[in-house]
Amino acid sequence: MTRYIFERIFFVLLTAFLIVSITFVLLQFMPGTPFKDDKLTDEQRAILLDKYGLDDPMPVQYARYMGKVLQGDFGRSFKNNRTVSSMIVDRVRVSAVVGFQALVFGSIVGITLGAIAGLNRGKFWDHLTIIIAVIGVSVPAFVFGSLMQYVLGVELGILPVIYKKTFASTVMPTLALGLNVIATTTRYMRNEIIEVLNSDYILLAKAKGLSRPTIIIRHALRNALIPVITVIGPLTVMLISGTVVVEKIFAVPGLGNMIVTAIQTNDHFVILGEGIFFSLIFLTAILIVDILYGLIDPRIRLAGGKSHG
Amino acid sequence: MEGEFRVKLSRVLSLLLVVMLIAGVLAACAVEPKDKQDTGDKDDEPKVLRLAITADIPGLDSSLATDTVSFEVLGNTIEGLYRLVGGNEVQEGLVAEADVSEDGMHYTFKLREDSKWSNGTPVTAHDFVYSWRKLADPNNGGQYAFMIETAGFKNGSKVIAGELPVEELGVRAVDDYTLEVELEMPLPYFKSLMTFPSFYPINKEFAESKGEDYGTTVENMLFNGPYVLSSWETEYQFTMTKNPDYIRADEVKLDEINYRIVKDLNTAVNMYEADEIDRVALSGEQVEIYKDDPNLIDVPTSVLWYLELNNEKDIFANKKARQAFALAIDKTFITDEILNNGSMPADYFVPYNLSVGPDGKDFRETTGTYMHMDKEKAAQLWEEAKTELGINEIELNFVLSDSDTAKQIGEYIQSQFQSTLDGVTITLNQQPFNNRLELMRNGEFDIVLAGWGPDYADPMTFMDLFITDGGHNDARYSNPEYDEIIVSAKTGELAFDLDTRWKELQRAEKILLEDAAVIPIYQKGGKALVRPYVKNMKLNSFAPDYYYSYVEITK
Repeated sequence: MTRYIFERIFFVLLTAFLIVSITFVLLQFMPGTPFKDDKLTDEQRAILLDKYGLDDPMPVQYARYMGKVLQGDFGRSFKNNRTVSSMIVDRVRVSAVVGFQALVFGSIVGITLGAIAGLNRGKFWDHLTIIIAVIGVSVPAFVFGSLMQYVLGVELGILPVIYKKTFASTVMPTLALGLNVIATTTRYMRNEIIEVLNSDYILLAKAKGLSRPTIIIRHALRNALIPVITVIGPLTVMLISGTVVVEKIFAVPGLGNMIVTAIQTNDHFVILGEGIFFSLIFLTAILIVDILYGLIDPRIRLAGGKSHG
Repeated sequence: MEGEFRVKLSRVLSLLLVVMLIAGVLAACAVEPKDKQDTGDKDDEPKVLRLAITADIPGLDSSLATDTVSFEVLGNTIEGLYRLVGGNEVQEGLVAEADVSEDGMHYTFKLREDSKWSNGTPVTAHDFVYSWRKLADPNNGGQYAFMIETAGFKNGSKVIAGELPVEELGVRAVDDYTLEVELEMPLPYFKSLMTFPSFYPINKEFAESKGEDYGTTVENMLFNGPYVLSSWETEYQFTMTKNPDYIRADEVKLDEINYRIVKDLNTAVNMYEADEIDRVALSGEQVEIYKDDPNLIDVPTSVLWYLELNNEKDIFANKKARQAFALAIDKTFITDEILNNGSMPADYFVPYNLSVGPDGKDFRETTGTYMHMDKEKAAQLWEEAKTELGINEIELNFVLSDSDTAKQIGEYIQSQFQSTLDGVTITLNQQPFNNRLELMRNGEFDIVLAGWGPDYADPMTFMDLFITDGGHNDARYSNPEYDEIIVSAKTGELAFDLDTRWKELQRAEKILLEDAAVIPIYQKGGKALVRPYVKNMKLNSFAPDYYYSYVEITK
C-alpha cells in the first residue's frame, strides 16, 4: 500500500510538471504583453520586454522559470510586483472556506436527495429530486447567484449582498457554488442506490431475513457511497471553475478572481503559479480518493493494485 | 419490502434535509452583524463616502503606476506641483510661484515650504528631481516613462532609451524649494501635464530604504496630500482618510472614502440598491432600467472611439473609397439606441471638454465638424472609387473588441456599409483586447474600431496619433501637409505662436477627417446613480479620475 502511495505521489508531481510546462509554452503564444500596450509604442515596449527578460528565447525563459520554481520562487506579478506565492497564500483561505463549505454542504444534501430518490424510485420524491437535480445542473452559477443576490440580498435584505468576511456573507456564494455539487452528487447517489438495491447481496440479505433498516444502512448506503466518493475528485475541478464566477458576483477576494485578472493582463507568473496550485489541488484530490478507495473497498486492497479511474 | 418503512425512511431523510436548511439560514441570520448606522446626532457623524471600484491598487510607486486605480489613489494622497480639480481645472499644488521664460522652455518653480510627508519630513524640490529621474530611468521599468517625452524634458528621449544617464535630464533642484526645468520645446500644456500622477514627488531616502517594497503597502508609503491611505486589504477594500497635516486641510470636506473592490457591474448596482455604496456606474442595459430615476447623472468622458481604415490596402489608398465609407454611417443610432448612455455622435476628432485654447474657449467651440452622414454622396463616391480601382465588389475584414457593446456597434456599422455601398461585404472579426492591439500594430485589418483616451489637456494628445510612422498610427496614414502642422506645433514655429498654433491644429483636424483616413464614431459618455447628498464629484478627463478635496456629503 505504501509503495502504491509513493508511486501515485510521483505521478502527481510529474503530471503537475507537465501541466506547467505546457502552460508555459502556451503563454508564449498569447498575444500582448503584461504591459500597458495601448499606450506604448513599439520602441517603448521593446525596452520593457528587455528589462524583464521577456524577449529572451523561450528555452532560456523556461529554464530560468523552472530553476526558480525548484527553489520555491514562483516569480512576481507584473501588475503589483508582489510574489506569486504570497498572493496565493493571501487568497487561498477565502476560496478554500467557500469551496469547502460548498463541497460539504453540496455533498450532504446531494447524497441525501439521491438516497431519497433511489429509495422511492418512480414515486413522487424521486421525480421531485430529479427535477431539482436537473435545474441544478442547467442553471448556470451566475444566474442563480445573481438571482439570489437580488432576491435575498436586495429585496428581502436577509443576507449580505457581497462577501464581508462574516459567515453570513459566505452563505450565498456557498449555495451558488454548491448547486452544481448537489446536482451531480444527487444523480450519482440515486443511480448507485438503485443499482445496489438490485444487486445479489441485497437479495441475499433479504433472504437472510435482515430488517429493512439494517439492509439499507449497513449494506445499501455504504456500498452506494463508495462510487460517490469517486465523483468528489472531479467535483473539485467543477468547484475551481465555478469559484471564478461566484467570486466575481459576490466580490470574494479569492483565487478565482486572481486568475481571471491575471489572464486578462498577461500576468505570466501569476497564471503559471495558480496553474501549478490548481493542478496540485486537483491531482491531490484524485490521489486522496484513490487512497480512500483502496482503504474502503476490500476488493481493491486485496487485489493489490488498481487501474486508474 | 414493507411500504410503511420505506415511507418512514424517506420522511426521516427529508426531515433531515429541511432541518439542515433551516439551521443554515438561522445561523446566517444570527451571525450577520448589524450594518445599520446608528441614528445619532447628524453633525457628529463622520462624512464617509462609500464607493465600489473594479480593481485593486496594483501599487503606489508613482514612477511605475499605469492604471486608473493607482492614479486615483495617488491623485488624492500625494500632491504634486499642480493638481487637477474636478472638471479639469488646474490649480496650484505645491507651487508657490511659477516663472516661465519668454521662449516657454525654462520653468522656475518656487515651492511652498509647509508641505510635509506623513513621516514628518518636508517635501522638497529634491523629491521631484528624484521622482522624475526614476520615471525616466530604463532600469526602473516604468511603463509611463513615455510621459517624460510628452513633457518635453531636455534629453528626455535619450535618457528613456538609456543613451544618457538620468542626471542629464533637464530638471534640477537649485535649492530645497526651487525647481528648475529645461524643455526641448515650449509646451502650452506643461502645467496641466504636471497634474499627472507620474510627475508627483517621491522621497528618495524613504523609497530607497524600502527598495522593491516601496508602494506595496500602507507602511511602505508616504503621503502629503488631502488624504492618506489608511488601510489597504488587497483585493478586498481600501480606505482613504482625511490628512490632518495637509496644507489645505480646512478645504477637505470628507473624513473618509471607502472603496470596496467589486468586479461585477451587476453586483455593484445591487450594492447601491442595498444602500452599501453611494455611487455606481451603469452599463448601457442598466441605464434603461434606471432612466427615470432622479439620481441618474451624466458622466461625460473625453474618450473617442473611431474606425481606422488601413491606408496600406489598395482599397483604402483610394481617397474616394475612404470618403464613401466615412459618409455612410448613421452615428446617432449607435449613440442613442445601442449605447444609450450619454455618448455623443462624433463628426470630429478632438473631443469636447478636453482643452481650452489661448482664446479661453473649448477647442470644439471655435471650429467645425466634418463628413456628416450623406448616404447618397457615399454611394456616388463609392461608384467612382470602384471604377478607379477597377473592381465591382470587395470583402473587408473588420477587427473589433469582443465585448457585447463592440459587437452591437460592429454589426450595425457592417449593415450600414453593406446597404449603402454596393458590392461591399464586411466580415466581423472580434478579438480580445490584446489580440486586437496586436492585429492593429501589424496592420492585419482592413477596418478596426479603436478608442483613445487623452493623456493631457491639449488637442495634441489626439492630433499626434496620425503623423507618418507615428507609434499609434495603425491606419498608416501619411500626409505631409498634416505632418508639417504637427511637427511645427510641437517643436517648430507654431510652438512659439500659441494663437496660430491653436488654429492650425483645428485645420489639421479638418485635413485628417476630410481625408477620411480615420472615421470618428462617438465620444464616450456614461451614466451613474449617485445619492443626492454627494456633491461636487466630477470625472476628470484624465488621471486622477476623481479629486475628492472638494467633494462633500451633505446629509
